[in-house]
Amino acid sequence: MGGVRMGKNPSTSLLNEWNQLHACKNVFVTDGACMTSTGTQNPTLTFMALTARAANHAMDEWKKLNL
Amino acid sequence: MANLNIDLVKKNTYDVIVIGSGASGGWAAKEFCDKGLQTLVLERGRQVRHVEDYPTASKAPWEFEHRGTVSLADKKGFSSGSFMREETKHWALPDDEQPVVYEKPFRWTRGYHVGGKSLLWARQTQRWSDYDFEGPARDGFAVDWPIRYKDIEPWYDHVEKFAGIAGFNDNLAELPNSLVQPGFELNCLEQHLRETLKKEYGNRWVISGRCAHLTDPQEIHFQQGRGRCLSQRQCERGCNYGAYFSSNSSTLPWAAKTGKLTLRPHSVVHSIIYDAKKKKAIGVNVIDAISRDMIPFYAKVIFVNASTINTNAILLNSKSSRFPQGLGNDTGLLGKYIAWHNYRGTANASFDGFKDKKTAGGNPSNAYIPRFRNVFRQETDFLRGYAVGVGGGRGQFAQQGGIGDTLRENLLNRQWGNWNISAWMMGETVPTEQNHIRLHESLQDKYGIPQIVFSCDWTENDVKMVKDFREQMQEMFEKAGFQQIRTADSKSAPGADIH
Ligand SMILES: Cc1cc2nc3c(=O)[nH]c(=O)nc-3n(C[C@H](O)[C@H](O)[C@H](O)COP(=O)(O)OP(=O)(O)OC[C@H]3O[C@@H](n4cnc5c(N)ncnc54)[C@H](O)[C@@H]3O)c2cc1C
Ligand code: SF4
Repeated sequence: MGGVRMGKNPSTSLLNEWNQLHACKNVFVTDGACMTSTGTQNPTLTFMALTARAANHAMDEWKKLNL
Repeated sequence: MANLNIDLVKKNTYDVIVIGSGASGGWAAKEFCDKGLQTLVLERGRQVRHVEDYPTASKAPWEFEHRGTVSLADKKGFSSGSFMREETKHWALPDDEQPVVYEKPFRWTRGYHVGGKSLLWARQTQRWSDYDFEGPARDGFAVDWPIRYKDIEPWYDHVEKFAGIAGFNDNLAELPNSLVQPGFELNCLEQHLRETLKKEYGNRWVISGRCAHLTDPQEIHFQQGRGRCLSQRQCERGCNYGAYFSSNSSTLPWAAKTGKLTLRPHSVVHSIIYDAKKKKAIGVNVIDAISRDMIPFYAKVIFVNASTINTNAILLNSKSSRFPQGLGNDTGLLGKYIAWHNYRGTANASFDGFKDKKTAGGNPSNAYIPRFRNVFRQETDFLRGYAVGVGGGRGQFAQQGGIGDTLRENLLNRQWGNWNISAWMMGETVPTEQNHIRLHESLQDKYGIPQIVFSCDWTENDVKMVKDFREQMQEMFEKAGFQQIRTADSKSAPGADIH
């Protein structure tokens, strides 16, 4: 997991809290690459929940024409 | 010419592009199609239609030509060959599809077909808690997660309702409750371990692992065409009842029904196209796996769901004058801080009791001990901890002696053996900058895409954690009165990277 981790700060992470690339907001990464840490749990449920969350955020932003 | 190009661009333009049709990509497709957006899912592998393309799902054991084993000839060209089975060989990936460079030993599991690894997974679905999201900040590694449990909780609910999760309300702070259908019961040996640990420790819980199986399907599942799990445990062949969640049984057919989905198999994504003037991505370049043509597709929003390593590789390969090190990679961090789960530790034992009891039917889940180390405070000389998968059972055997009638009688009258139990660790590894993947400077695959270089290794923290797992399992099994306890460290290469 990881490699395109989420974080608050664009200088130490690649994705924001909605899984958007800090530097290219209309690209979203919501699979295991976004994971800042790995936990011990089997992670797929978390990937799926993050995906649904990010997709709905993208559609909200779309309505506001931010994408 | 110009008009032709405009037409082509128009033809290849969608609202959203999703790269990868696996567990996460399927969800992106479903959410966008539900809201009426034209969605293109690009999948590098072949099509796998639910039921139709599960060639072995309803085969009886005697219908396999080699009783499940795969001939040496058929294993040629598959480095995963030693694990190949006749039941599942249609999911195996030939080495020449995507050669990679292991600078340090690593094991990378891929599922390249529609549905991705959602057709291969063990379907365990435990939620995260804030003890996980707060880990990096509390223990001072990586960076702080920008979200907490409350941000994701409604989305766990959303996914669980649709996918269907079997389990119990365990009421544990370290493993928040899921929205569950009835769980699979633990057997008597697993229950015995549960009672022992509860009494002896008071903070180690043996529960039934939550899993994406329908035990009490609801209207939303019937609408997906899915039915109840019969506990046959042949899930890895593909399930004709759609009783476990996969993209193929659930999200993809659901998205297709909206009429908004275009699913394009044999589409190897090469890179994402960045437009410096618009300051955003405008599409992706695909190599058609059959014709080998490079074809661009366009959309306003791009979701990258090609699975961890491939998603890193696609971004690294998306170079432009604005992003010479790969898309979004101003910091040079892309591909770094790769981490995985540590499965090195195992423990086994037998139990000389419960002779009057046996199991009936299969359990497609397993028992599970959520992390108990360093949860509420730091208490060991290593960071983080491990969960434990546990499976107990009682095997049957037949005496192989005698000839003629005696042999036949022996073979027909199988006897119950001892109870056995095994446990496997699932440890958190701490991401470090050194553990990374990158693209090779010159080596390419057959599509002309740079090969991926793996440079990942265990750390001191992982070694200490395996040691602790072995000591703790020894102690827990002793307290439970188990015999012939054996613990092991497989010292396997990192990865087994299935996520
Ligand atoms: C044996 C096994 C057991 C597992 N058990 C569990 C478990 O119990 N619980 C759990 O939570 N997880 C489990 N997993 C992991 C789980 O399967 C994955 O975490 C999950 O499938 C990841 O979803 P994904 O969408 O990120 O990737 P995948 O499901 O792997 O899908 C990625 C898709 O992208 C496609 N793709 C890749 N590169 C490209 C490209 N360049 N262009 C176009 N398409 C591309 C692939 O072909 C694939 O279809 C298990 C995995 C395995 C192998
Ligand atoms: S155990 Fe359940 S999900 Fe698995 S193959 Fe059998 S019916 Fe399908």
